[in-house]
Amino acid sequence: MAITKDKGPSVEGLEEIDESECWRLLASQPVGRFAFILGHYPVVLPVNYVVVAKGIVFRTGSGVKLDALHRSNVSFEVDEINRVNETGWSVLVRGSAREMSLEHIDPELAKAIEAASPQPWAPGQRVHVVRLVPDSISGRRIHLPEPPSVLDGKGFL
Amino acid sequence: MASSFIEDISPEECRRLLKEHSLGRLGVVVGGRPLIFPVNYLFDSDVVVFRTDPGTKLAGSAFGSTVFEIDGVDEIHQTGWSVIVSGVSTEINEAIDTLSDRLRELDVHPWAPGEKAHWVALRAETITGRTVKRK
Repeated sequence: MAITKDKGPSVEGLEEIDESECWRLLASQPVGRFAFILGHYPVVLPVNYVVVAKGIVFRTGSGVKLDALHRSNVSFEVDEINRVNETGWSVLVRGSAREMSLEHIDPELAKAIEAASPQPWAPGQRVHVVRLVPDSISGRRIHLPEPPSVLDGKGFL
Repeated sequence: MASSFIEDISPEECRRLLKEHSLGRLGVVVGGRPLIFPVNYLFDSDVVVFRTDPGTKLAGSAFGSTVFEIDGVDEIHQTGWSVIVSGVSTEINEAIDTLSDRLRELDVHPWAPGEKAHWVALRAETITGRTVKRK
């Protein structure tokens, strides 16, 4: 479970997001980005997903995503960007992914996945259900700069 | 909801989208694991340029196979597009070629705090894009 975090120097204005907030943010978006290794290249593909029982579940067809995820470590990223304020957050999950056969897993979990089954926006026979099991989860948020001290609630008069 | 279909985005349109945006996601491999980080960037001469501080992004992209992704999502219509650039990235702080000279003059503006003194250039080997549309 212990994953070495290779943090850069911590700087003002950049906040580490704690684990429970990371999970809350993860559940807030319709699209995330799934990364795996294909050949020597990292591959990043957007997917529709849901969060079920501390796993990230998405559906895919039988293409590169499915072939590659059995052989590599994977990551999953979601973010939200405010272009006006130039602020935002991102959450990165590192882990491994497995194809799920809904018949052979815990019935309660299968039920939860069926109920929340992500409906992909993309067409095609996306019959394979993939669950990413996290080893670690981390997030960072960019804050607005502190307002100037003249606005510290004292008023102007 | 109308049925959806996927279309490839032409290379010209991919380049236009890359120039129009300024925030994307960098994918690097560090210790056998793919990682994704949002970065502010500029796209010029088929190169994705960004600035970073010492850390995972720099270690993973110092001289290695790298991927870069931008996307746009329309939650209401449940459509979206993504453009993916892959190639090899290098730090260009000390590079003396004219392209690197010019790229270092670009106004790459990171939102995140920090010095971001390391300039990294990802030279595109492939640029592809796909869009999910509805009839």
